[in-house]
Amino acid sequence: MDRDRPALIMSGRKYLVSNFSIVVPIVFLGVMVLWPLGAVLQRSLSGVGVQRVVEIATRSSTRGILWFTFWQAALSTLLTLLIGLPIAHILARYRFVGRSMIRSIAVVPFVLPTVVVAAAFGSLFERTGVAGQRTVWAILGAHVFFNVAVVVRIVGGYWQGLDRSLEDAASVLGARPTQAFLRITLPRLVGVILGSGLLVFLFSFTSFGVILILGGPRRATLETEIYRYAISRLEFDVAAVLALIQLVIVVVLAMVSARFQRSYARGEGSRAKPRLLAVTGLRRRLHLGLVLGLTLVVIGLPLGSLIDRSLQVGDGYGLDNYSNLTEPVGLLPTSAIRALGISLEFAFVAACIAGLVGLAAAVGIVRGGRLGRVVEAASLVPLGVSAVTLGLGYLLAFTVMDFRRSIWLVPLAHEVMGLPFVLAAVVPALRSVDSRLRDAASALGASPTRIVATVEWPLIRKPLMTGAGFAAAISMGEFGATSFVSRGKDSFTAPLAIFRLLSQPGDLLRGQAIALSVVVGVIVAGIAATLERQRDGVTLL
Amino acid sequence: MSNLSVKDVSVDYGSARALDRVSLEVESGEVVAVIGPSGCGKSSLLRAIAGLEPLSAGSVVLGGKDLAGVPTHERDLGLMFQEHALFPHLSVGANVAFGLRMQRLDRASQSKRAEELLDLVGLGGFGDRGVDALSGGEAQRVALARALAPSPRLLMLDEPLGSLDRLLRQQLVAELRTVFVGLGVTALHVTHDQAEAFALADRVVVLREGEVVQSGPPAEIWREPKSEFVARFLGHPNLWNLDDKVVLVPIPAIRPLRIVEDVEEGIGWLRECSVIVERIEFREGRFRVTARSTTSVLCSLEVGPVTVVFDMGSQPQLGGRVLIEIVHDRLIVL
Amino acid sequence: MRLSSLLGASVLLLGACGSADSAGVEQPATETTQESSGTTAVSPGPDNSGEGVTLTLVTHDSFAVSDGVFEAFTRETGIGVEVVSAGDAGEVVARAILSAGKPEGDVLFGVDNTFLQRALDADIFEVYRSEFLASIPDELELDQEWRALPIDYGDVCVNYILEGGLAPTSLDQLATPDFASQFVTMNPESSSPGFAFLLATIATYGEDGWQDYWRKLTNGGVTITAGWSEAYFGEFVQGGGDKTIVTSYATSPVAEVLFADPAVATSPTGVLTEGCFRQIEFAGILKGTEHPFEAEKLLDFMLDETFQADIPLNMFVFPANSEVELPTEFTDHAVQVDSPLFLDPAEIEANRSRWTEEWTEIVLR
Repeated sequence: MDRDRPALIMSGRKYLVSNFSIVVPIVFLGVMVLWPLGAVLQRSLSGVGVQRVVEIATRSSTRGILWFTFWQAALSTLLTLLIGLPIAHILARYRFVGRSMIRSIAVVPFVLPTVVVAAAFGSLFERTGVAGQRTVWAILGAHVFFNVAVVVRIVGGYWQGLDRSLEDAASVLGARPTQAFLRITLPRLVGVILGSGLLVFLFSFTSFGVILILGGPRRATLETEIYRYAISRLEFDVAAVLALIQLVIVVVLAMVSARFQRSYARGEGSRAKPRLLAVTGLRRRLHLGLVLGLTLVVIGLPLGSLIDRSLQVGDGYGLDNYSNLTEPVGLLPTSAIRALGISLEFAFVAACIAGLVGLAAAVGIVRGGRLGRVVEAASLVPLGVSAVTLGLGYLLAFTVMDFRRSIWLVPLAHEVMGLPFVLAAVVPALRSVDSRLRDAASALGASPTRIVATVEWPLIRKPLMTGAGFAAAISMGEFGATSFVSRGKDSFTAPLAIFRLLSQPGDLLRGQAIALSVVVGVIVAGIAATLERQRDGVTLL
Repeated sequence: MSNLSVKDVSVDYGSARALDRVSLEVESGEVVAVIGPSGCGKSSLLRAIAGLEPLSAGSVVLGGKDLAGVPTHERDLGLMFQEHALFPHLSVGANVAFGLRMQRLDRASQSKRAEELLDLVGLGGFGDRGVDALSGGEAQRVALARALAPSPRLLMLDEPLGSLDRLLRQQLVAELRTVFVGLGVTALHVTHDQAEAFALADRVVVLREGEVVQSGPPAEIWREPKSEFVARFLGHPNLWNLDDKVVLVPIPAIRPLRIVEDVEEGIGWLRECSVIVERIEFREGRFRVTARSTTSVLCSLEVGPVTVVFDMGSQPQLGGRVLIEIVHDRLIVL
Repeated sequence: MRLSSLLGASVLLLGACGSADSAGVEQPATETTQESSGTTAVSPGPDNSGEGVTLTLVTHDSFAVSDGVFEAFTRETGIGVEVVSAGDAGEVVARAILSAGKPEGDVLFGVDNTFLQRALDADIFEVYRSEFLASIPDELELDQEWRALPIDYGDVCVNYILEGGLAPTSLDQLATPDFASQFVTMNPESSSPGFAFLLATIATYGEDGWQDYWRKLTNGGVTITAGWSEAYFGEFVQGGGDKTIVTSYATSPVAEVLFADPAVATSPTGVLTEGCFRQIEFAGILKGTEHPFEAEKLLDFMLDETFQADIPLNMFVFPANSEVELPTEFTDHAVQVDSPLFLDPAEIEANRSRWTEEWTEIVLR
């Protein structure tokens, strides 16, 4: 239906604009994802017979690993949604002290190195006496901790933009709060919940460090097995078959989710500036208190224990670990501060490119068509296939002009990982732009460009910033893929520094590593807060 | 029996007071319109009655029962929103039937009642359509049908026609009045458009900065505004400052004596007519109006610093001067 | 210089983003850029006789070298050196094998004796018999055809806390319940020291005896982690855990002293000198390099004293060159292992999968 398409596409120079919007992401994903993947699969599977592939894929060990990978990811996603949605709700609807702070801090877990979080979890378990380590529950708990931000930010941001008078209308019509939520709010959130849920699923599906460190040595997933076969055992064909299985699952999931999202996309009647609810009455206070308590337990406690550890110096407390960050350490090719600077540069570049490519891709996806669907599915591949596969793919594919050693490779690898977040935030917003708003603007004589600038841009600006913020956060915290990309000193990022600091004994190193993690977290929270600060009068054109 | 009784209700948003000790009665079967400029607390009043906004003080009594502690969904009200607030994921029919579904009415009765109401608002057969395909007027009719479907004890309308264009608005006002009278609906209607209020309501309440400043039947309020604010808000044109007082000169109090070429006293310049003005010139400090009149004519005249609007009674003479007379005993001192 | 072009491009992107302050990220100062390009790629000076070649040294994440060391090489030869790292030792070998013929660089450093045979089998190295091998003890030269040359070595040993814990005196004793329950070691499939410790038990108890040893450890309650960091910083008392014995390195006490906070005179940890497996790291010239002659010079340099003397305090291993004087931190705190354990690289490669699978059966199932 043409009337549902954004003006961005309906412009007079229709073909030029729409083709450009789809060509940019296709070129990007083609070069940064499909080509390297093709290269590594081709290299690993050349000369391997179909029989062997089938044999590997149908081994009972493969099936067991696949099953565990799948259910732990599904359960992690479910738990993350169960915990993330109430938090997203209070952030989207209630006005209370510390609201914007929680919004910013929620992103921090997302960027913390697994080994540091595991330590924080460990000390937390010790203190609280919960014997949680090395069980499936520890894996699930860590996945919730890492990924709850995805739900909180992406669903919460969309939720906040939803017209609240619909819930009011339902309530006046006799719907109890739960009924109003289930029948009126939830159906409108399905698209964005599916989108963010898929991201959480893919993260849990391909999680590496959490499985190895918290799951204990017995747990294996597709991701850890691909690493084991490719790196420890050099059985590239087995690794490639497992990677192929990963790829197929990701693409199928992406397509199913995209289909659902499309069928749930609806224009919202009103875009009146939503007013946040005051927290009055026992009921709301209780509700808010409960959810804040939950937030504190899930996000606050582990972070608090991390900060506590970063301040421990000898037997007392102090800021020494932070001041030490500027001191050069023999283990690191540059100082920790310099690594932080490099991370910031990369985060900036990755966020900018992810924002621009994501905007183009979002338009292409909403426009529909086969290419749009291809882009939508392909954009999720970097999250759904293992860092080993992609890293080895870069090694094999980018021999041209020695791009595999280019300083651009790291931020570009980060960018492709940030892209799905931009899409998850922007696509639902773009789909929900009410066609009537466009028609009205068009009837008033607005040109397509004016419509983009006045109707669509204000509605997608914030989601775009949320997505770009995630891209920056991913870039700041990414370790797996980064460690697989060849780097010189100029691409020695903060997460690499943290790992390096933890490679030798000594309180000094450990203190610096944790302090550096905290600094990375604070910076990411700051970036998120800055990117989302509401500013009026900012337009695209 | 008084159906709705609002007593000394106050609503605060943080430190800002939206409603200040507002009292209001709506009789059973009565249509009351609350008017006032934007931000005067009209919507807050409706939201407070609906239980969507907590009261800082006062009480809301419906059908003799105090609604304090009764949650919104148990208040048995209807509310129509300015932006219609239709559920985008539900069909037109499902939107209308939503309240009935909440009452756990059986499906057959639900769809029967929904069809009845769609017929009533002139949208028979729209039940299966999606709501994004509706025009603004159709959407508002669906919103009306949805609000009426569960037969609420009180129907509240929050600027229901505010987003529609003038022509559609006039048409819908007439339709609403027909529906209200036909069903004997008790309604509380909030608007900033006094014409809409006068056309729909049995009684009009004027709200200013969260306070009721005047209340009464439309004709009475128009005839005898009790304050300059009400007079201005209703759009009375002839408000003169005389001896530190504001004097309202009703149009019937002004008569054009004659149209002359040259008179000294009490003469102003013909400036504008509600008939079609073809040309306005300003020459040598004086206005000249070229106008094409129809029948009865309201014209405005500039007399010194004030503008007087009056009924010409006859065709204005192009570029002519006019002498007016004011009937003193019909002046209203505010 | 590439960094500055990156920054230039980011500024362009910034402009394209519409509002310059939208990202809220501070741009680093230009002088930082210059400083970093100075330390990264050491370019040959104009007055040198070299042809202006810059070699790429491919290595693992743990590679570290002091500022000025490669600069000395550049001054001497006119050849620049760029260090490129990716992943751990296993990953470096896997990458090199996967990209054989189209190498990422000219010289590879970081293949240890547990992966040596794998690299030799894949034929990724050129033969180069450096004259500097004269200063290297023969027992470190595991490749008789001089494709992979030994650069450094270290011993993976059981470490323990000196105060507040039991001090094991032998591997046998370690397997008794009192000790085993306090012992944390790593999964040999995901950890290099973990694998080395497994090899130590195989070297000690033989092809038929090591399984029983591990059964005893398992029954005694040994803790297994995925990697060294999780063991040392997660489980071991020094890192905040509650285990008093851990698999680590003979040089770990050096780091314990060097990076102590507050400073200490001696390490709080001790080393069990029995059952230490010796890891030797090799470097070689990658086949497919366009600069074999310069690569040979770099290998010579890495075997020579300047580079060798720089190794201990950067990578916490011993220099292969026996003529190099060790820093006092090493002589004071590192433990000399008199009879380290070895296994033939070919044997390791042939049995790796079987050993780790058997280990998994015994310890993890």
